[in-house]
Amino acid sequence: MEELLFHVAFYAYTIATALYLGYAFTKRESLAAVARWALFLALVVHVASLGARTIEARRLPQHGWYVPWSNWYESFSFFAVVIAVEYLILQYRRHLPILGAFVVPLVWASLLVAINSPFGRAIPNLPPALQSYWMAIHVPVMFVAYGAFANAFAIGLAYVMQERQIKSRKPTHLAFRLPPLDELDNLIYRVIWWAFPVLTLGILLGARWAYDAWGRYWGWDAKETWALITWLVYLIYLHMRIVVGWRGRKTAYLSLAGFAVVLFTYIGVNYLSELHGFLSGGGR
Amino acid sequence: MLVLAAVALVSHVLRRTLPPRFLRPFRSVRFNIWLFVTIAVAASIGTFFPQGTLTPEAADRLGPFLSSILSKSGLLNVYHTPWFAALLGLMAFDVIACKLDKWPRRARADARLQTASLNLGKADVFHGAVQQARFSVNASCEKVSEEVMGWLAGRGFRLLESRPLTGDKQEARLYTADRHRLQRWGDFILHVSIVVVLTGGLIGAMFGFSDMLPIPEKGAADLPQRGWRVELENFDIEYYRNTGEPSLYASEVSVYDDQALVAKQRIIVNEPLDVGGVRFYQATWGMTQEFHSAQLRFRASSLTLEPGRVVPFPGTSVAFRANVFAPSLGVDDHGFPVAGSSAGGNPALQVDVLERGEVAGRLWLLQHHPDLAFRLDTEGRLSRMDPPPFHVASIEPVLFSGIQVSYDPGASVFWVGSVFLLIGLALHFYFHYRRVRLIVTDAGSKTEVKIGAWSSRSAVDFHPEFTGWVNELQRRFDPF
Repeated sequence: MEELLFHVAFYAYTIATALYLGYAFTKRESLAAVARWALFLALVVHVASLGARTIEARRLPQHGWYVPWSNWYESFSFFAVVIAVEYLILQYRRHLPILGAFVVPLVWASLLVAINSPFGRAIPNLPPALQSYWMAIHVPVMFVAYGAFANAFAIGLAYVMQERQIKSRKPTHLAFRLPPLDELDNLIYRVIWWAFPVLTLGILLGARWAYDAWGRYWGWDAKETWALITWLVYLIYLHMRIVVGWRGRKTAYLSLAGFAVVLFTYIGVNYLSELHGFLSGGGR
Repeated sequence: MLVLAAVALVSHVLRRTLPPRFLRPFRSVRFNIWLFVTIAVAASIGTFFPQGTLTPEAADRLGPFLSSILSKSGLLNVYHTPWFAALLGLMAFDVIACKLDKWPRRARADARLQTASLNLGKADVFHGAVQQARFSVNASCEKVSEEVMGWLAGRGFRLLESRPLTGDKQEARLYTADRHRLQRWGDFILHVSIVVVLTGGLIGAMFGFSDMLPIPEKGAADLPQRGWRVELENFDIEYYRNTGEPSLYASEVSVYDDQALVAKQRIIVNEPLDVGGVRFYQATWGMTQEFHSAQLRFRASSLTLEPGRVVPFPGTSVAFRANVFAPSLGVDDHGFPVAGSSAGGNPALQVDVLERGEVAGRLWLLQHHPDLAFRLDTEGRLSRMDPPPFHVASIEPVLFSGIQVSYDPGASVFWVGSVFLLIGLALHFYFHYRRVRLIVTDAGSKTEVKIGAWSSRSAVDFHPEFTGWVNELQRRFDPF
């Protein structure tokens, strides 16, 4: 059942992605509403698949701690949910369906990575260090922050494209769909402004968990260190924006760079970290 | 409180003793940004180099020159080098120099602005306001004043002043109110908290300790930092069904101080034992190089071996003796066996085959590879041999529990700093200070309302909110 729901969700996300891209590059206004409904439907089915997986896993013996973001496949699946939810909230508040053409492909890409997990899709056996209520608190909070930075990244991409469209001699429909540059710039700022304290909370919750699990709240493990580096990058963004007064292209590129660091913290570090890494079995 | 007082004292000393031109670079945003970048780059270096002592294999691979450079440069111990600690200390100093010096003056200026009577002309009353508007209503000045007060109360504003405007020919009244005043402390709180957090880390690094006690089953280990003895009464391990992956491991430990029992508890991962601030964690487990017993399996029978005990094979002159257990048998470059890690990746047993009481052969048998066997030659090297008509079916190793012991007197300072950091962030980022000033002027048959507002929100984001305020006020007098 869980697998069926997941595949339905994936196809629905694929349709939503195509619709948003169609909206971006055509004159058909109706595509925006259809795309939004497709995304919403995909999200509902996707969340149902996560719920089904959780129920199935908790029926297994020795899996009382299970949460559906415990391995590579599940974490990318959950990441897709978070990005989509945050985009829909942004869409509700700002009414900018064109941003779906930049955000929803990220959702789809995250699911693609999940599907092609090198470690399979079986329900994992959690090592003892991950059998904690902190798994249900720290990890989702970090993903909420990462998902917001993913949205900021997508808006940053939209900014860069809009700027090029404006400078080009032949702007496409996209140029007329996208809002003004200063509005995009302000939106990136608002999203990062909101997400930065969430990231800080997530890091500190992780420190609390580490204090109970590993004997120290901070051990300069690769995952912890790169989470701090992510925090410093966005700290730099906020200082440059608020104090120095950076606007526009510089801050847009900084938001793109910030998400690159987020991706390294999320994915690359698994090859470096002994405690956090999916590859090392994490937490023994 | 002690830490906050210390921070305030340091700030006060800095302002009094250091010349302003010395502090000026630290107050530059450019310096701050470069400091953050430097810390980020320095921290990232430690993630690409293995931290701690180079293993002999890694040292061989790198060669003596590179190994020496890496060791001496501190790249193998980045986070505990003086230069990295200096960077973090510089960050704390920078926050103090940058923020704490400004805040007392800023707080006093704010208080003056809020409470002092303004002896300004009407034109200056809205000085610095990010939004301004004016409108007229068909209502008396008293009625409008009443509605303005009602609107301010309904919007949750705190009235700062309500008075006649001085020096005016027309009757005019000035109202000043604000909301979320606490937000203005958010910036200060979060910056001080960073210093407190770093101070907690420093206290822990200077006065704390950490140790790993690998204690075999029914064994004990000493904790020299406290003079305690830690005994492992029992060690349990459970596995996920049909796998070799542990699902739980737990230790029943007793802690003795000079033979007096101070604590006894079953500790599992994520549930440490705390004895007067010294915390005992179930960190890891593994196999020692000892074993309880092992089973040798023959075609139609089996033998149980215990360490060092000669066990005859019934009906023959052959006997067997199990000597050594290796959790993860390996072979070095010279062909000598090595015991390997305690993880038990390749458990193996060294078995003597005795013929009429004399050792006829010394073998290494691998539990997970019954088709493989190795002979030990006279020099102790391993050489592969044809598999004998028996193999090791099972080995019951003596396990050890890895108990991590740590004491961090700075931890409570770190947690307090963390809580206030989150409070400061929430105040600064999720609340927005708003101040509004209204002048209600009797203009004969109409009443004129001028409104100006200040906010910590950006002008772009504040404009729709301010417009909403103006519309709300207008609707109070003209609902249509």
